[in-house]
Amino acid sequence: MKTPDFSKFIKISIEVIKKNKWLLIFGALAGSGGGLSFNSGSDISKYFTPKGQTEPDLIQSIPEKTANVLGTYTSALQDWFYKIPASKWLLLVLLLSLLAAIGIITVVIIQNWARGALIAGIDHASAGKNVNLASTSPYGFKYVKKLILLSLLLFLIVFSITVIAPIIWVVIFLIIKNVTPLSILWIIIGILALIAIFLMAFILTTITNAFAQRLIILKDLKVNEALQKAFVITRRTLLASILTGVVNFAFRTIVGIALIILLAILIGLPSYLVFTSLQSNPTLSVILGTFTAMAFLMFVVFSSIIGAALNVFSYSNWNQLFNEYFINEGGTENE
Amino acid sequence: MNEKRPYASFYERLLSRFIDSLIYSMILLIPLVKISTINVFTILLDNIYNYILFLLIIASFIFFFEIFIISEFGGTLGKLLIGLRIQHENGKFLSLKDSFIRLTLGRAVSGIFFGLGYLWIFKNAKHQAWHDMVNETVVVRKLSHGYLIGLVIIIAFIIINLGIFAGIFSGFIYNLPFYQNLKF
Repeated sequence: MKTPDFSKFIKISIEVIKKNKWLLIFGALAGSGGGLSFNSGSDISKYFTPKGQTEPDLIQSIPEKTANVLGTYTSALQDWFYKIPASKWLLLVLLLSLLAAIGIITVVIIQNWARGALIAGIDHASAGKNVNLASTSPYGFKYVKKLILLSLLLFLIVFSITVIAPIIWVVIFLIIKNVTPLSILWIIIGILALIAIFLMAFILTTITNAFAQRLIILKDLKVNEALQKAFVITRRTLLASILTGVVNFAFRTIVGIALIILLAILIGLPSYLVFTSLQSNPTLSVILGTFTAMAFLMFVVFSSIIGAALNVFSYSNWNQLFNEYFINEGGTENE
Repeated sequence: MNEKRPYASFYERLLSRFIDSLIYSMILLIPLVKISTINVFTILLDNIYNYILFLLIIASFIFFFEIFIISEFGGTLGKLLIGLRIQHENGKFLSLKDSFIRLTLGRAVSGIFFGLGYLWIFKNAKHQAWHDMVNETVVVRKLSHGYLIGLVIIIAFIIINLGIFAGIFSGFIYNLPFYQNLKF
């Protein structure tokens, strides 16, 4: 596939956003990353676990640590902690798990509903049809199950790669570990290869995901059919797809930098003035502080709208690439 | 088909939400009355732990209870008390699935952009918020003076909540020496 005209893509995407404000709702809920987002959860909690200490160790050390600051209540607290019956711990875990499950299910449904509605909505908007919440949200519901299944399949693929590739690396290392120069070479080449594999897997699954979503929603294909076809389209449009991703990423970066500058001017400068005038002129400081807080709230609203618009922009660009592929290839993607 | 339907206003819906909140806060505050009077350290810890479990149970219960009650009776307690009903345009109540969608996805949709979706009730001809538009539902008024009943109920619940809160506060004041002796 020849390189698309990205200036046309960008122009159309901006027009779509300008004329169809309802799409911002779907854009906001579709989550960050737009067409380049992937449903792999990041375990943030691991960053807060001190090095060399596992989480169960940390939990066990809670009474001990707490006891250090509780003075005379040390032993009482420890006794109480260890006397809590197992049934109560089990109940706590069950209830937290139930609430977490509700939360995760809700987030997955919301994200996939929004993605489905957004892709369909952009398609309708590009065709000059009326787009609003009531007319577009049924498309989100219609394809939500298929999109969740697709996310799971792609997650499994990426997960398999991230598990299998390091295992192969370790096995080869164990075989050649006695040959020192070879093992050193393998450590360097192996790690570089792993990084390259992970990067390739991320790029390919992201592009495949973007096409498979559109095949499900715009061509009404089944998940497995869409996935197979999406792999073919990814192979044929690799350069154009990577460029689309780069364009989306560049826009996000530029807008992100602009927002940081805006934040510095709107909030940073007045905040500095508030602190400097705190002692010399408290009244001015309070007034300025109030306005700064209001400006910050307005900034949060503004940036959330901008974030939503960026998602619509990304999805719109992917939609256009997808449509252009079908126009150029004339339906020969079945090969 | 074109008859003018009595769609609930923003304020009526807000009133019903206030009633819900006051009922739930009453349930959540009652155990604190007992906790506030405890002055034995380990018993206090036991009760705090139990209270956390209670909060989690109530949070889970409210979620499923609201799904059920909206589907079965057409509204949360607050809405039912002041005569409002959540229904589809054809008058049917929501299915359990629709009710789940309303309480999860619907709230996320209306809550986005700082609750602009709820303020949409002012603008929409059928007084629909964004979560109503997503589910193709409307909130209709079944009692003409439901808001008056609502105001009476809200005053009653505010008085009850204040009474409970006063009980908690007095318990804490009574136990002040005990808390002051806790060395942190």
